[in-house]
Amino acid sequence: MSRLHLEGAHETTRLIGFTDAIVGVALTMLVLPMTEFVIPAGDDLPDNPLRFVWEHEPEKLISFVASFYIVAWFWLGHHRLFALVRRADATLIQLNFLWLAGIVVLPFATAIVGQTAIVTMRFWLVAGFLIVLLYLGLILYLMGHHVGSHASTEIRRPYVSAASIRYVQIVWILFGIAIVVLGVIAAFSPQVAVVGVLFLPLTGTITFFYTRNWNSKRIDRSDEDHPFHESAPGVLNETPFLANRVKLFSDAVVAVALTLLILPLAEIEVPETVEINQLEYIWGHYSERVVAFILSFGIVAWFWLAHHRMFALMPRVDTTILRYNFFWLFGIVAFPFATDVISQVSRENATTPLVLFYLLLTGYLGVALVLIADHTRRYPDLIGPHVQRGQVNFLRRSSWVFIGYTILLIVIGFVSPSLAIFGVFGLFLVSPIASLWGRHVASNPAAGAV
Amino acid sequence: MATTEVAELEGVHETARFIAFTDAAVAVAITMLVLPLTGFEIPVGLDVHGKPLEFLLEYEGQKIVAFILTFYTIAWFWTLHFRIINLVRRTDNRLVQLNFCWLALIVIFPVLSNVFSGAPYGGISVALALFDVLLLSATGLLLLLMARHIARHHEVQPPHAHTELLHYLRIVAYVFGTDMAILAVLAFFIPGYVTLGPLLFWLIGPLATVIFERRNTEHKRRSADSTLPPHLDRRSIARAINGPFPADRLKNFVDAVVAVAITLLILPLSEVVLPKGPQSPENPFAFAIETRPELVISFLVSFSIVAWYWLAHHRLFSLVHRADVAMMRLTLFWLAGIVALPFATEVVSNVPRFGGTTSLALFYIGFPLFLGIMLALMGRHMRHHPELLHTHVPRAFVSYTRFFGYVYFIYSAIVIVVAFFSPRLAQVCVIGLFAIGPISAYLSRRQYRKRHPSTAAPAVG
Repeated sequence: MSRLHLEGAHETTRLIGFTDAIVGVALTMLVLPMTEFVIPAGDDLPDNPLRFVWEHEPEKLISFVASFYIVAWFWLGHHRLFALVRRADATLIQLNFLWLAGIVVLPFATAIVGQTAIVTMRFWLVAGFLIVLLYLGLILYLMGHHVGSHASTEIRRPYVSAASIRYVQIVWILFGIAIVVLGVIAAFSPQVAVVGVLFLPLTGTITFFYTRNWNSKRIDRSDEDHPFHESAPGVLNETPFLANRVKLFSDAVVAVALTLLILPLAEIEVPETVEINQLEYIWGHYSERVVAFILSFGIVAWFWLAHHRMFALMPRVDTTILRYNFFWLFGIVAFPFATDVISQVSRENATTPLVLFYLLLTGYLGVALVLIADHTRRYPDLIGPHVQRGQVNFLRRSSWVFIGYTILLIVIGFVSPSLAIFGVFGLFLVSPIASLWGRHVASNPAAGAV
Repeated sequence: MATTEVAELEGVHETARFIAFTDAAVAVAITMLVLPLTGFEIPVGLDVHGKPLEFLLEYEGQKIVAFILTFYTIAWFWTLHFRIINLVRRTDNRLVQLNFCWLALIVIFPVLSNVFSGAPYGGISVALALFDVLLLSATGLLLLLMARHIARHHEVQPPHAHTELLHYLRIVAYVFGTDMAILAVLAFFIPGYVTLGPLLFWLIGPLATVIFERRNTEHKRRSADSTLPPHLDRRSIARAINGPFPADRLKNFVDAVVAVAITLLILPLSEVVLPKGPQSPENPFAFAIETRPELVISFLVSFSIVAWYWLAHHRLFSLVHRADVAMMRLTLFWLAGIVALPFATEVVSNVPRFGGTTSLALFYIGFPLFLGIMLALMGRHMRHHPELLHTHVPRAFVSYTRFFGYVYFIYSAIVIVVAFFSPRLAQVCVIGLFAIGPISAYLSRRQYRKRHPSTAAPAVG
């Protein structure tokens, strides 16, 4: 045999891992324009810095959220396509690089769109953005066509259901039609077209309902004993995927966000004089940046660990988990922005809205994890067979301790904002408290009805 | 399968995730080092025509030194981290906590690099130099604490713990500590030059090896039996220290660095500021592209070059399943070139100010040349160490790496000669690099067909 199939599979994993890393970095870099806000200091310090940001450049915020949504959706599309691939051939690798070039351009497109006020948006701005999306869809269509039209198992996995192939072939045609329609709408009202971009993922839902019954018509029975085989839409929905790819993708995003937290510190400029003690200067002028970095680094690291613990129980994930995971990732990606805002306000001037914003973002991350934990409780087939009940319960208890603690901090935030910020360090006590609670429940079964 | 076995498998898997995450964060930190280098501006009115290298040395020299130093520092710590974590079978909480502390310090290095590239060497205060030494020591100390934790705890050790490697690491700790102490003392007298301290790191490994071997010889002399126990055999020790290790982690690290580098290429374009108010352009995308066309071109060129080199690296490494320290070093050198590539492209995009001189052309060609030579050396190394390769790699694949090296060298030599006659033509010749892969694949197929006339040649590349 001239080609080693096992090795081929392994190296396709590397291609996918590389793609995920790039998409992860591009997704996280969407936050960069948001970290460039300069909040006036001194007497002009706004009472609510977040409202200041919203009033001055809401389009930055909106284009960040919209682009995040779009990139997440494209990733899901790419994921569904590559779930069918067994070995990537040269054509697929080249197409994939063309697609990556488009993904990398998206932060640029977001930065451009984010600079134009919504009311003054004109046709060409929206059209430019749509062309980038159309390009990405076209490449995915070509990849889907390439995978779908190769009947041999050299490129395609053997157990793939007819519906999944149909899905990857049709969805991007529908997507292209939707983009053209949006382009026509943009000629009349660019604002409506921008809102319409948010509804593009509906093309996926429509295709899903169209292809759902395809399996009963034509089924690929080449691999009789594969567990995926009987499931109606193959790798499309609700059938669990192997969780490896989503774990690696989340890691890439968190790793970049974790490192981007350093940005406010990296902008420190020390005057070029010989007599100055640089360290004293930095601490004297920028101490809130240092504190904000340590705080945010701790929080993101803590959440990564919680995510890691939760996903360690899950060898498989379904589309719902993927969606909740993207909710969670959104909060992680927004963290450099929150860090940038709080690092601009000194501790004496910390206001309740500012602290609330930071705490609510932390709480949001916790809630997203609770959603994931809750979903795994309803669908126990996602949990590995060897996982003990205690491990799942531990995660549930930690979530509740976490939510309770965040509510307490929010209440404190109304009284003393700076105390609430430092209270965030108490998060590190959540796991010990949860395990104490667990021990209490174990020794007293009557109390276990929580 | 018994429950415990499954749990152990899961544990191994989750350790893999923990390592991949660490590598991704280190990769982002190491790639972000190039950011101070990009976005430089030639002062208005300064005549730089015909002297690009003089300009770079005078205005960007300190930044370049800071980049190389910090890249080297992070890469050195990462290699040490690689060897230590290689001993781990399953991670526990303490190890994860130590590792996050280590990551927080690694992420600070780019900031320090930024401060150093702004301050003149004479202007670095004693406190800053001491802080630098403190940061280096703390980073090293955390790694050694991890090693100690691994040595003491059974559940984090692999079944056959490399006790000798742990002894070796202890000696590394002593040498490293001595180095740091000397630097701390020097910080009071020559603070500016203490920042160059990491350049001494390359001495630590060989020095520790010498001490380690002397200790073993003494052990041999003192013990009644004149033969060494098998685990103290020179070769097995060298193997524990220098690998080969499983190549997966190296591949993932390369992917993470290249992925960040290729995405950072878009940054200069996203920083284009649109005029506000009545001057706001009708078509902002066209405006951005028209005002800074050189940014678009350098993005496209750099993207294709990085993508091409990743593919070449991917092909090469698809033959490898283990990597030793020499391979890791070559790869890290290669990565330094990849990370610095946006800087080179930016220098060249200032051709209108510099003028198309031979030195500029050589500077630009130097990068692809360096990257290619590193790849060719990696190919050579794996041909000389067949234990690194997968078991059933066809010979045609291996001879592909040889042809790749030859063709690359010949082509680069031609381009360098061309650069002396026509710098512009030499820059265009960089496009020809894309043909090297197919040519090498063709040559290796032809050789295969000559030797095995009856069988079909395997698909190479």
